[in-house]
Amino acid sequence: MVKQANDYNTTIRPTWCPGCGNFGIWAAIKNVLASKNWEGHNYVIVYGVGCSGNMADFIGGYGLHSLHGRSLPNAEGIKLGNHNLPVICVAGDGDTYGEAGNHLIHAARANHDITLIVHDNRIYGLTTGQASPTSEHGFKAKSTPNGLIEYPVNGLALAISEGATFVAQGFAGELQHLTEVIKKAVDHKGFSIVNVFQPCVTWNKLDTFAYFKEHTYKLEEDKHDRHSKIKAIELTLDRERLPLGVLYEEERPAYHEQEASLQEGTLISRKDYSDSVTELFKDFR
Amino acid sequence: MSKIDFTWKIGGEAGFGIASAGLIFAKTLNRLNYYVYGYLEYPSLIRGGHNVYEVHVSGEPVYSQERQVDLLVCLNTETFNLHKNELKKDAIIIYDPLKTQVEESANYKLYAVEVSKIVKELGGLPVMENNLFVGISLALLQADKEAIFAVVSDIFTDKGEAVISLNEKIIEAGYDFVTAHPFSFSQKIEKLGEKNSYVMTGNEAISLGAIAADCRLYASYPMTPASSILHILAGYSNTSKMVVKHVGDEIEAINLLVGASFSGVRCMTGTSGGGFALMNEGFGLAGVTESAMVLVISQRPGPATGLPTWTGQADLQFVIHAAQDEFPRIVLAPGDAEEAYNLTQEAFNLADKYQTPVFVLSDKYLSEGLYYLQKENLQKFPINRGKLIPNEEIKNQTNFLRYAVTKDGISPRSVAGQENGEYLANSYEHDERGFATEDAIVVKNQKDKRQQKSLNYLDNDFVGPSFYGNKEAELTIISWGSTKAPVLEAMKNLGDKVNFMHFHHVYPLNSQLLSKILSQTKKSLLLEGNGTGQFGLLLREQTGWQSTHLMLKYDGRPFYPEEIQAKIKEILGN
Repeated sequence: MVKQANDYNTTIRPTWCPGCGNFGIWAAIKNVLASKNWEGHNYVIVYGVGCSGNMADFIGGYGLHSLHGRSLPNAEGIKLGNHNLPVICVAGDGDTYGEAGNHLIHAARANHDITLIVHDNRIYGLTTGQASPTSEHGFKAKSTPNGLIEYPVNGLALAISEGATFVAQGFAGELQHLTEVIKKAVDHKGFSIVNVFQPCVTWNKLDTFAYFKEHTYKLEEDKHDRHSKIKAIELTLDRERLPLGVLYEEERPAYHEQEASLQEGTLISRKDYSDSVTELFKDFR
Repeated sequence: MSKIDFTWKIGGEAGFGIASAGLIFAKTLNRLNYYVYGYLEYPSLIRGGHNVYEVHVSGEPVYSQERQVDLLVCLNTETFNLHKNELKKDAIIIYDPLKTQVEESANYKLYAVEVSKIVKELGGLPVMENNLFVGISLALLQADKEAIFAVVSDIFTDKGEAVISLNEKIIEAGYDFVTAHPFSFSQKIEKLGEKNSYVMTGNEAISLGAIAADCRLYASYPMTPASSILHILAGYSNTSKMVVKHVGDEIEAINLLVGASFSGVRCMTGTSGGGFALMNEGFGLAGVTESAMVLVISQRPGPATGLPTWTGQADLQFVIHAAQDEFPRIVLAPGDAEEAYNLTQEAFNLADKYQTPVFVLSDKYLSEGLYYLQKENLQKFPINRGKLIPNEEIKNQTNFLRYAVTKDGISPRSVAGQENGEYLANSYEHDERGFATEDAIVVKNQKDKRQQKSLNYLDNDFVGPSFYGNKEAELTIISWGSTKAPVLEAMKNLGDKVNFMHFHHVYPLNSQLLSKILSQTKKSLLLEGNGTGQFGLLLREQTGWQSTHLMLKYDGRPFYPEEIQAKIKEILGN
């Protein structure tokens, strides 16, 4: 039976604010699952904590609703345990670029075969509206009434420089395009990151649907060299014109493909080697 | 023949193979079927700084280091100056007069060997002088040369034939020197009857225990004194097929384990208190998601960076109370390497059975101390995965509830990828399916369910303390974890007046059982490596019982049997 996006719904209806950008990302992820015709046991989604992470209750199948900022290492552990399972992380911008900086660096350089979808609304939603690591310099919010002193984190440039092998950007208001981008990211073998502009209709009055509609453009495949790190990073430097699509892509063996102990199958399914301890004792005479 | 019991100590600058010499000496004696205990002291430096390794040797079981030394090997003058006052009567000091300045004294005998010159003449490097000293020491003890050759050949097997034969030549030169310059020493090593024992450090025993328990993933960030577990397991991974991952930080380590447990593989991490401080958040996630994992915490004095290469037992209350709110955890504290090997396996079974994190609480003293292990005392635990549902069984499930409320508090467990076992592992409080909830009844039921696992453990798997010595003794020593070794060593000279109660299952505690046991003690001496008597506080909290005497040590140094004996004499008044 061919799967439909709504087959992945749980009995719980989303609790996001009406008009939230998260609905678009939720739909895109379900579209990708349906396009794969996956059953609930054919994938795992790991969620961070934030409005984005609340998606954990709205998509069925194996899921892990992690801590704020820790979805990546959870996902790595799942992947090392069973590298045949596709593993997707759903996280926010504060989650990823605030709490998970070190995890992002190490996941990228290791090239773990994981897809990270970052809900980038440039604000903290669930904690009721503070500036996030991707908010504009000067952004006024509850925790920064005089304007944000810091400049925004360039998450995609960071991912590229640290060795991510698939780096893309999407927009929650462009469902069809976003579905295609996430599908490519999931298909990619190695660490893939998709930064998704996701307007927060309640707390962020600057980075709205209209703002992103106006400031984004779609990369044309034949006009952008997605195998050049420099060109990809260049694209991320322009905060006024925001590229959508695949910025960077490279083929490099994933972590699990290079780990000697995983060459005879997944860790969970391989045979028990506990008796090997007997021969090791000879080293201790 | 007099009873063999002596301590050999070698000291020198870091980087000159002090630990390696100690290991060769200890292994040689083990192969000649003597009992050994090896103790290493070193500062947190790679080069420079003073390193010492001492090996306590006996024809009878030997448990710990002792304060006074029979044979002192000085690789430099500093060693002589620092340790000349730790000598037994008629001790021998072996030294190189070209490198070390010594003083004559009636308290000891000097044995000079121009070690640096001999090694140079043989074409060896200065770092090989340690092995000439070992050769001389063993020759003075009249130990069989073939035994040390066999050890050297095994230890240097990866370095190739040339290194082995050069080291053999160096050791041979030591034996030749002693033949030419005979010197009488009271202790003579003759090969004893086979006793089937191994020598290994606590960390080696923990590592082998993990392999024996079918641990499939070890994720860790280096931190003394736990780091060697990472090296040992990585070194053996081609045989054990374990995935051994040096991760980006400790937060990654524990969260990797939560993921690995979700995939169903047995997993472990190792760190010291500082690294575990970083893990606290993920440790809570493991608790609420009911993940199975083993955490080795090898204590060193702190807080913060503390004394990296020294020992202590001050993290007991920390691991018991780690992470916010309440959830079950089990703490096992091995007393020696045999217990470390056995309890690590038990830790994995308990983690799977109770679907909760289990600690193996070690410290620098146990982790890096060298112990003998009797083959017959090493157990191979059958692997028990608890309520993990096999693939063929879970296929027939409908409406699988991962967090089903059960009488024993333990729910059925599926692993990622199993058909019909889908669920959400959730850091939020959740219902039986794993979905977030704030419903008062469901919240209470889930918390009760998790807490029930502790009660279940206390009824079915808690093991009370081990007893040593005369049941009717006037005084009972109470300790936990690695302090077992110096206490047992001290007991050798304490006769019938003292017995010993050693705890290895230190948390949670069965109050009823312990109240009964503790109320039967007369005088008691609680002995711990921390400043507040943390285990004593726990016993008091659980039973109301309080020890009549306390002996606490928190200067980074281990307990010495001599000081335990002195304390007991003070208490008993003779």
